[in-house]
Amino acid sequence: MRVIVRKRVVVPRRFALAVRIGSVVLALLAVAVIFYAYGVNPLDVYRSIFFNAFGTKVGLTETIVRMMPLLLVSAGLALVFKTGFWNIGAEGQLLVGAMAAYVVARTFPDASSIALIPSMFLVGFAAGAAWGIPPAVLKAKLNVNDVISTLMLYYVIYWVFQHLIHGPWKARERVGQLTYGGFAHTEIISKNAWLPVIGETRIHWPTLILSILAAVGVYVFLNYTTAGYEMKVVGDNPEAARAAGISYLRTVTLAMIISGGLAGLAGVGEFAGIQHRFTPEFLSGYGFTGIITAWLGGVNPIGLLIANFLFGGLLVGGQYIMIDYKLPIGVVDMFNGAVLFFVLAGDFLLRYRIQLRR
Amino acid sequence: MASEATAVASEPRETDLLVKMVSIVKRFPGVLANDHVNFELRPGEVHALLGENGAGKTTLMNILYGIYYPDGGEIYVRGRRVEIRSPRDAMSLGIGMVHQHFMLVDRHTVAENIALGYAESLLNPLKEIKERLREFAEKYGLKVDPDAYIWQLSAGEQQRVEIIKALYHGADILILDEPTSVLTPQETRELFKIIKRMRDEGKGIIFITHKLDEVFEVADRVTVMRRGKVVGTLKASETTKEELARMMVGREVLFRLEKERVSRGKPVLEVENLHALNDRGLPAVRGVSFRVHEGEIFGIAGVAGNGQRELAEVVVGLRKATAGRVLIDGVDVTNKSPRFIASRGVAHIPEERLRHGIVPNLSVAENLILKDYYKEPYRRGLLLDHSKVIEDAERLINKFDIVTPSPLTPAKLLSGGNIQRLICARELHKEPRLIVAAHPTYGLDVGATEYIRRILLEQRKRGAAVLLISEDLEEVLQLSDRVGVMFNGEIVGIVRPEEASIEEIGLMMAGARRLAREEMAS
Ligand SMILES: Nc1ncnc2c1ncn2[C@@H]1O[C@H](COP(=O)(O)OP(=O)(O)OP(=O)(O)O)[C@@H](O)[C@H]1O
Ligand SMILES: [Mg+2]
Repeated sequence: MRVIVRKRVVVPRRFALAVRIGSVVLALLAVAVIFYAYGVNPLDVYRSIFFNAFGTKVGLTETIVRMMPLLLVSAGLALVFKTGFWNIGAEGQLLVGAMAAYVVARTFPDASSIALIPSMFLVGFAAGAAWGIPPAVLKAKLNVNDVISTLMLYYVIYWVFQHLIHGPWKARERVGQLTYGGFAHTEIISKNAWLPVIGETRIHWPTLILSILAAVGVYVFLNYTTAGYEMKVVGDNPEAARAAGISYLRTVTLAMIISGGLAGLAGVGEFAGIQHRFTPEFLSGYGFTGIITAWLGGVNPIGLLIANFLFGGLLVGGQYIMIDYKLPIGVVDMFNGAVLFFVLAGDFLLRYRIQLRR
Repeated sequence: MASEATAVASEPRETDLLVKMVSIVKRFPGVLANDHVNFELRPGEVHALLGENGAGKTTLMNILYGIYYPDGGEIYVRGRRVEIRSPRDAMSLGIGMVHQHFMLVDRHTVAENIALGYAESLLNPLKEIKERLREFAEKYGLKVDPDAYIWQLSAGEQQRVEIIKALYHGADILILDEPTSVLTPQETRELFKIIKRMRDEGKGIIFITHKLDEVFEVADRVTVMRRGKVVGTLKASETTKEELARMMVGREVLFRLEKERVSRGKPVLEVENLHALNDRGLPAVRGVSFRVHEGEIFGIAGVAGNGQRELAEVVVGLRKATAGRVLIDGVDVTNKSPRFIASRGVAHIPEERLRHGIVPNLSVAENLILKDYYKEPYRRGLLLDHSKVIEDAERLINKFDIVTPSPLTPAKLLSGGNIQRLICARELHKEPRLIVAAHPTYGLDVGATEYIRRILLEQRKRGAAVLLISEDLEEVLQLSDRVGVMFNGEIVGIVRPEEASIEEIGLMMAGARRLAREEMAS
């Protein structure tokens, strides 16, 4: 038996879509086996996920709450992936953005919402971008592997964060006359810094608007600006880009500023819109899940919206099944991993034709 | 329709034919690449396949090799009707193919490349391969070092590896797609010897080329294609260069261009004692000095690998000079960025067209603005003016006759020669001060070759300076006002084509003769 792998000359568009959908379906099947091993009926589980995520009003609004940060992160990632640069550290850029928002809110507790909210987003974007720049420069100047440097920088900021909330940023709590530092969390930021929400839901609408703008924005940017053109050239043929005088450093740095910045915005939204203070469990993996949805959606607003809405739903539904079926907390991560695996394998299928022969 | 033309004297019986392709049809979005094509190959024959860029030659051969499946038609191999659905099928039928652009893996050795995916024994294929490589070396004179890495090999050597790869599977039907366009004259002669030896053994060889002289040198029969159809099949001994050219292009082709006298202006490019390293870090350009003036074509002749490529790359800013200077219109541009140099009015037709010349997944239109996208009129503030981009692309596609279904087609889907036309269109449509052209007519059909040469001469007349690098000595001598011969990183002589003999230039190219400074033409 021999395996022959050949590059495809043309990838039909419909085939590309089919492979993407197919990979999600395969992931569902693979994880079903594991549910089955846990002694629960996979069909029930999926029905429950679907119902809890999309079937109730609360479920739907919660799905949107999860979709917003995912959309921000994946829009930036889809763009930076176009340049052939692998930003795996969006989770870190998100965290830096959130920390920047906290600093703003803490420094100006009495400022008005009108001043605070835009400044938090601005500073959060800048912080996320700043955290994204070093890997770009390192790759351009010293050819440092982007996957490793972006991921490592995530760990760096993660431990800085842990240090801060266990020490310098730890809340001083007051009981009567006594103040003492108790648990590893920060103070709740002043109400002025809280993002407004829609009605009774947790949908902080400024982030919703930003996330939709981001999904449309990256598409417009890539296809209608000269900088976007440069990114396509660099991603497709870096040598030709160099010969045409396109700076790799500038192009990739700009892509990372956008990607890191958008992840930073997601962090601001999550912090000022939902959690309002830091606990050790602040992060919930949007930066990593966004890698998958960026692959699925591509630089395409509709694709990004659909992929992130579905994954937002999965995160919501996943929570319920852990409770309803007493499944371990890792199940949702496992599902994510399975999807990523199948999506990447599917992508390989898109580019290569595989044949088995005797 | 085209079938009457092909029904040339079919002396051998049907079952004696190695290959018979009947009424092959292949459509791509927007193009009919093969339109009821008939083609046959006899044992012990070299069959040349000619045709304009985009005529459908590569497509037809890709069908025979199983890369594409035809939309219609039948294929017979040794008289038997076959379905070829993959190169694997083709190989098991004894069909081998050497592609227009090589498909070897750079970082692997010769033996590993041959082993990749194809070896018979799974455990230690390398040993077995090395042994058989020795056999081939003896039998056909196909010498290569099995342990050499592909990136260390010259184009000619890489091609030998491709041929060996095909023969390795016992191919007795060998397809060579433009095998000579990347070869030096010596390598070409070697290749022809190998081809003739294989023919004498009874193998059939299909040979695609744009160089008509080669047809008469090796081919027994020749089939001419035009716009997806076969125009006719002829015996090489019964036709002429002019007739073939007319069949291909549908009009008379001038083989000699009128080179007007142009009075030479002030120097545009000045290269002074230039030094540079090659990719492996060894000295490749060693103290080169020359000048190219307004209205002058300065040719560089030499056997590939003597520093010509590195020289061109330094001039356009793609490679760092380790010493010396490059001046353009008196401005020092040594080690400046490619864009800075381009902005001084330097156009560049690169040697490695797929690597430096195009962005494969971007459209033809997007490729045409690669050097200009950041300037007016394409750039509007931060935005790119798409309608202007398309409008200009359509103009250039017409002017340079680029065969493409639309300006939005990805560049990688163009035929080899049309990719080269795209690059020429991008670089030559403006009014450059200096044109650095490496193998500008590589892979172009006779019509397009004539056209590009004419453009170079027109640019010269307009007052541009041209640095022309080509292994095609005839081309260099025909177009250039002066020719610098490079050997081992140095310019060993500068001559005027009308004053020097081919023999003398040949001696200099081989390093056997060297002109003194005062003997050099200035
Ligand atoms: N995979 C493809 N998809 C779409 N169009 C294609 C594809 N391959 C070839 N074509 C088109 O088919 C036509 C014939 O191409 P082909 O490569 O066979 O030409 P050719 O005769 O080999 O030309 P050249 O001398 O330039 O190599 C061209 O118009 C080309 O653009
Ligand atoms: Mg071809």
